[in-house]
Amino acid sequence: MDKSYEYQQLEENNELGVSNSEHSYGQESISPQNNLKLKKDSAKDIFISVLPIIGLLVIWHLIAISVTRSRGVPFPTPGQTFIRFYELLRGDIYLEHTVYKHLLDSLIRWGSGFLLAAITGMIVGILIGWSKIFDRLLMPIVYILQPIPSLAWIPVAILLFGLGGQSTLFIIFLASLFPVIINMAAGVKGVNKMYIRAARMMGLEDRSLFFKVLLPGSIPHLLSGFRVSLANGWRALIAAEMIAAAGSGVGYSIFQSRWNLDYASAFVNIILICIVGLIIERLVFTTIESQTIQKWGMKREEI
Amino acid sequence: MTQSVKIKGISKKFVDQETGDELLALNNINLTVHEGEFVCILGPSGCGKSTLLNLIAGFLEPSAGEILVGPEKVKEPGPDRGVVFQEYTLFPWLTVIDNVKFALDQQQLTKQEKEEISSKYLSLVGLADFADARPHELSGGMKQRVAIARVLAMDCDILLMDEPFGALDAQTRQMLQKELLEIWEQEEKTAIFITHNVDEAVYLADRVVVFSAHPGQVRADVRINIPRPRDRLAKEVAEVKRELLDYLTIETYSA
Repeated sequence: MDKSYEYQQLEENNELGVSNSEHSYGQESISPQNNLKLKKDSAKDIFISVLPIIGLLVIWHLIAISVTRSRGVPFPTPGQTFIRFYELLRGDIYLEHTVYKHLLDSLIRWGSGFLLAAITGMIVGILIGWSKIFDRLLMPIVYILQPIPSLAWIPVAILLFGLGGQSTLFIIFLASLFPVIINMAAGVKGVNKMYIRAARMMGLEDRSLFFKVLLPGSIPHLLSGFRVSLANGWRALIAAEMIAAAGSGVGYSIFQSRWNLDYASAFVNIILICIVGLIIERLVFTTIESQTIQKWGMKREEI
Repeated sequence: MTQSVKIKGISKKFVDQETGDELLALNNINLTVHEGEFVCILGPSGCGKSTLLNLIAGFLEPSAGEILVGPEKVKEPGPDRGVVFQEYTLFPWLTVIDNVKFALDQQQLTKQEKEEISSKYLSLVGLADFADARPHELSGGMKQRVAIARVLAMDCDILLMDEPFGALDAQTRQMLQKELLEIWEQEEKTAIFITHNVDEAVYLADRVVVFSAHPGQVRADVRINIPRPRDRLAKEVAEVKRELLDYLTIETYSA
């Protein structure tokens, strides 16, 4: 019996050198009892899910009051912030633009940086995952550059592009790039070896093997790469706008409030950042996943 | 068209890439499987029987010897040899019918022909109603039926099956064995079926080739002349089983 294990091991080593990726095929089942319980508890459920938000607002309010008293600085309370939020949503001009223009500019920077990173990252990741030579040539570069915090690139960005939009884009691009490369490569390498054999058995050549098996097979990995990449990009965007800003944007708005002392507007922008993050995560990603890997039974267990 | 499979002096060595140790998995195998014949390769785990199947399929290259399918030497995997794997290996991102159609996409067929052929074979394995399901929604037995439909649809000459029912429960396994025989008789294909299960071999095969391990080689070649469908409990079936078990037992003791 021991020997048989060895055979298998050896066979696997001899083959493409790709390891099997474990995907969970288990499906959660909702029993009738669970369903009933869910309905009954839904009021309590809603209460529990808003409780942290209420708690946060209370803590914020307390801090705001005590800081204002003890330090004599105008720390905005939740109430003041929401009034400012309303004014800005109404279309009041802040730092020469409406809040919509600021938000849109940030979203466009984020989107273009991510798009560039996604395309570049997928191509590089595919090369690394597909060919041993590219793996050995490119992976060390990825490992060297990947731990550098995106803000540490700011001097490089400014030297390359000067102050302004291109520098911001460059920072977002770098912040989003590495998660895509690493996950794409892992996805391609991790495609079940048996899928590749099955496809070869059915007569697939390299090109169609790639598009019909390796690419769809690596989607679970790729999606988690995108998720990390978008989050990194968003964080980098806010920070990059503060330093290499182009005169607009959510991050720029936050940072400029230190000059005009409009801290309530800064807080509004922080809330906007949270909302955008939540929408991307909860709506966009959940929808993409339910249409792909969840439908295919390939959703990986959360670690 | 069915083809014969000639295995001539096949040896397969595996080299451990770290220690450099060599392991002889198959030693000088000579075996001919005739056109339309159903041959079971029976042996304990680690006797190299799956390695032999992978060599015939073209997934591995032999260290010595050659394998001929009809007049042609095996060089790489191809649609003339349909493989049914133990793990189901259906593509989870495709529907059941698209999994069957996948093999046809490599062939010069019109869209309608592909549709017709894949529907036909899906019906043959009794899964027409599940055409639009995803593989993960099917049971193990159903998945394996799809895998069989897939290789039949691409009209392979040789059916290669690597313990295809090994992961199934006993009832499902017996049902699939019966269905497989019916399909095999209808489609007239050469079949090579790997198993470690004596009952399965005796129920299915025209010929059972018993392998011994370390290194893998042919110990016995037993022809089964019992007409099908075979009664699993008949006396003559039991006699063949005993004979096969004897070969396997010697093997186990000497190992």
